[in-house]
Amino acid sequence: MSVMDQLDTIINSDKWWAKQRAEVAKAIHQQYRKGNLTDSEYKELLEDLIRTDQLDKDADDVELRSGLVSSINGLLSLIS
Amino acid sequence: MKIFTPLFLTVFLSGCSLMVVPSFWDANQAESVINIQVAVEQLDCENVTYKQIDKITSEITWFQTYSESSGWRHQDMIELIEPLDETVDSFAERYHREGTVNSVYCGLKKKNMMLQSQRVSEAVLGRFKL
Repeated sequence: MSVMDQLDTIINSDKWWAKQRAEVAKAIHQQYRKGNLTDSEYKELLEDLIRTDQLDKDADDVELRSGLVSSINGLLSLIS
Repeated sequence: MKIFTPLFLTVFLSGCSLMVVPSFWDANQAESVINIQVAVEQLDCENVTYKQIDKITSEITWFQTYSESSGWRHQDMIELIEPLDETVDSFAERYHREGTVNSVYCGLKKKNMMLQSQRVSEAVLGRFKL
């Protein structure tokens, strides 16, 4: 399976966040193939997408912690 | 005590992977992330100006400075905004270096910045209100 096939599989999946990113990755690759992006621009745009994954992990952590605080606060309110 | 107990229990229960102490809802940070998102959406790739880029970078700097000044409990917010800051910085640096940016690169960069700013907003706006 080629990289483009893999991207198409993700684009057709039901995971919206992965679908969004795969569409952007495919668009970046297509524009590079057409000669509309320099090597440096191409590399930078793909590095942005890698950083988006790190951001996702950090955001998930914030949401998980917030959920925990909310749940614990709910449990505490049962005795107050 | 009302704040400390859930905070302590959250850190205790979440284990080593989530050792950063959680920050709570903050109206100033909420407003700032929406300002960042709007500034990214208003970026006109057919006619990029210094003012448009400065609007995004200044708002990110405001968010970082506010979070740093708010003390240790906002460490998670500083880490959260870091990837978006790097994405925007490389765009601003290229604009300053080259004096302009091509519209195809700008359009794709804008998509990346929108994906990241939307995710930051979701996390910041979804925090627990004390």
